[in-house]
Amino acid sequence: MQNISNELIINASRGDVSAFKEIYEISSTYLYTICYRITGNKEDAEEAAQDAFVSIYRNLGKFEFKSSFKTWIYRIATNMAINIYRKRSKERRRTVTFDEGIDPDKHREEKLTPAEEKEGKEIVRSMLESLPEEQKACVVLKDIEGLKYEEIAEVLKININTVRSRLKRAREKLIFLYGKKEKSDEV
Amino acid sequence: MKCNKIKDIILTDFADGELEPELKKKIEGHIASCEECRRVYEALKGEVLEPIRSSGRKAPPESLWMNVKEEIEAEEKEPAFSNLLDWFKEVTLIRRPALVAAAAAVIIATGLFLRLSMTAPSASDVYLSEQVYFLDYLDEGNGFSYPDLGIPIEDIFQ
Repeated sequence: MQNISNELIINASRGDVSAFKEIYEISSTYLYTICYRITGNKEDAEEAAQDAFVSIYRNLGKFEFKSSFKTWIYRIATNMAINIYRKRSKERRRTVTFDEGIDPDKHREEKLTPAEEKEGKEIVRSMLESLPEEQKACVVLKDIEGLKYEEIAEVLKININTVRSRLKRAREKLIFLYGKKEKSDEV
Repeated sequence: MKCNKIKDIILTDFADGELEPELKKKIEGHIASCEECRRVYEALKGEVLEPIRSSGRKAPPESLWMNVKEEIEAEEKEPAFSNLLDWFKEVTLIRRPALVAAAAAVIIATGLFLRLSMTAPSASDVYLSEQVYFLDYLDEGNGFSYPDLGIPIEDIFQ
């Protein structure tokens, strides 16, 4: 992500909407991707990203420049996306108890274009969907956003070794699920 | 180093390029000679990391900025309410000792008021004291007196 200057942050914190728009333009693709990959669909990603940007704007005055602005905004977006994902999961579980036999995952399915399917985006989505949200957040921040372990620890406010163990468990699970599938397909 | 420990490193620091060059070389050497660890590394690289890392970023829809802007501007149009809300938050969250002191002052003032109102004479007390004063006044020979009938009644029933 392109560097966001302190001057821009200060101007936006004083209510300069055009300065905030510049921050939005620099960061929106990154934050929206995190929201999309964690929630798994466009509607929830849009809601999470909107809540994240409004929260960033409201709290700019509280940013103390002690930590990196990038990890600060990543933290807000990740938390918003996890909250919405949890909320939707609860809602789906409630719906399923009233409508037994329906696959809960069907509720969040969203049609991909043939081009997207060709690119394997459907596989990535179901891979991420198979992970618990705290492992999924680590995978998204590492493998899609390319953050270092230290930065992920700062974003999620966890120990660096917890980042390692979450990534290890997530990758073991993905190798088990997707490696096995390929072998059974071959047979 | 045992294979289990090496697998943990392969799944994390080695795959993510976070290893010191010396340890990285050792792991590469181990992968070249150990089939089991090589299989884990290849599965990780080809079946997990490659599809996720190549999935790319997604651009937000154009409506997102409009919605964010609209929400921010709507909040700024209600400064009186938001200022009141901020003040309330500040008073309840930041100035908690001041809030406790203010509540204590209100309780003490209410207690004093109730005590004063309980010790003040009531309307019936005032009426009774007025009557006592009036009867004393009559006893002192003031006001109405009966006419003299001659023989006192005590003398008739002796």
